[in-house]
Amino acid sequence: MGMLATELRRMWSRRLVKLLGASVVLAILAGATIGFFNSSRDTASALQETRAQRRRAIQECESGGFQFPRQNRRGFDLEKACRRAVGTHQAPDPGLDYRQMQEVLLAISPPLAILCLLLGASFVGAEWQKETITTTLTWEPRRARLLAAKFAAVALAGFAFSVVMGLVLAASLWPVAALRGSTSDLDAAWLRSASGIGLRMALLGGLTAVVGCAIATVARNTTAALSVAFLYFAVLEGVIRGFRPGWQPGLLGDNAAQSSRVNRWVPQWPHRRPWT
Amino acid sequence: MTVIEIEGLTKRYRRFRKGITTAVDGLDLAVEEGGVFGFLGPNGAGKTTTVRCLLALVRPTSGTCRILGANPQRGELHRVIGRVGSIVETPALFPGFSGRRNLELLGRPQRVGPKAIEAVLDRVDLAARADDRVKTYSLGMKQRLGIAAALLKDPELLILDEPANGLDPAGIREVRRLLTSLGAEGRTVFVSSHILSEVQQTCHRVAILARGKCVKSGPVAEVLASGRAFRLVVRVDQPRLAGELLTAAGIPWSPDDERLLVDLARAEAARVTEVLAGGGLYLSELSPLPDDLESVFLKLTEEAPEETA
Repeated sequence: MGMLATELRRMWSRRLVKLLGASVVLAILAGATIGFFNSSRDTASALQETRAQRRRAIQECESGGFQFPRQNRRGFDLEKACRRAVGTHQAPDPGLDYRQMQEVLLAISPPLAILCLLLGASFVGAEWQKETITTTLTWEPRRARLLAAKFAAVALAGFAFSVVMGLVLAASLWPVAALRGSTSDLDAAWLRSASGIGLRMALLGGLTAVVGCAIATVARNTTAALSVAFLYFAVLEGVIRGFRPGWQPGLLGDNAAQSSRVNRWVPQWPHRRPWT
Repeated sequence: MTVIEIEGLTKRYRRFRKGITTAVDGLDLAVEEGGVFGFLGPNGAGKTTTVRCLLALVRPTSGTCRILGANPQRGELHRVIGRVGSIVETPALFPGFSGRRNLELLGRPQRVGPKAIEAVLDRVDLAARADDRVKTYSLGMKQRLGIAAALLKDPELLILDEPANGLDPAGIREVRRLLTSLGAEGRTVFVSSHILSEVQQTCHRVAILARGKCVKSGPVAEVLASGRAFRLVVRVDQPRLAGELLTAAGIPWSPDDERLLVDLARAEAARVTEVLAGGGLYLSELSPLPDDLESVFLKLTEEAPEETA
């Protein structure tokens, strides 16, 4: 435990961790601010605009914009046909519905996983590059133990980083939804579902951090580790997907993406019905 | 008690397109408890590789070593590592952290407290800069921080690889004083170095390493004597004739301006007077050259056989 605590402390003391954390928090806050100014509770004008759009489409149809197969037959009602053809228009919700938080979490999961990979790779890569690992080994010569502590620290850091960023995101979007959107219908089932997504996002963060750490332990260099990760995820997996589609279920990237999407334990909350 | 035992230690490195390099070649060495032991050798002699084998940082090709009774190759080093402080080459510490932070992180698993950290920082005279980032330190300050890290465990055995590397003359003197005081405290200090004056002034015993082999070891005085370093300075009116007489008597000598340098121990100085007086020459000076480890070192390392790998 002492070694794990030391490695966590070492991780926390790193500038990169603070820099990445601050950058992600700033990006989240910027996104929330943009979301705040783009959100509105004025559903009436949104609905009005949608209705006007539908009317324009029907008028265009009636003035000969569309050609119907039976248009020249007797008894053909052009207005009716145009209404049927144009159909209903869905008015977009102008305000942020907090129930969409689940989709937002899913969307930030891959970039967070990449950042965790960077954190894990740089933590061990820097040790090899600066040769501080030699100094550490003169204090703890049992390599397996030392590496286990490092891997555990990296996994915990990746997990915690993802959890904290998920919470920051949730907290920063709450006022946007509360003031300019909707926070209604958030019941226990929704909370369980959102928590499940957040948990899987955090587990994915921890896992990718360990992958980064493992590659850096072999490559003994951060840049080399990131290059290997890029080559595998962006190039090799792409080639395999193209030439051997049957192997896709076994690919690490696909499984990682799938792990945060699949929601078996709790039912997906239905989206708000569109207005017509 | 023997604190370091090395038997037949060999380390070969296989390098891409360069074949095999033998860094250490069947090294035998024993270091007894207490005092300062100098591990001398020119660059590339295998000093650092030996230290790395002792600390289980590299696996030897063959041979064994024991440190405080533990065999590092069998994974026993962790039993004694709390009693061993070490520096391997230039101490590698986290450049982005302060000196104090580095020591805290190193000492934390061994439960080294802040008082011990303060004490070692004071001892190496770094207390005033302890909260600055290591990357702002000079090479000498980094070296002193490395020594502080080695002292942090209050070790019985200190293994210091080139501890005076990069230090200015004042720093070297400080390290020398520190090593002497550590040795006087009853600790065993194993110091590898190629700075001979440093070793000669601080060490009680030395081993000289050349091309991966130990060419001489023992108390400093004994090693100096064995290297025939007690050259005598002879001054006479007719140095040429004196040289002929010495050669005829089988005494090795070499010219040095108006003097002759004679390769004989002090105890054999009477032979010089006898030979020269017998030839009708009377000495105007007969004095020993100061004891010089450097000449012994150069002689022994030059004489060592070439690497066979």
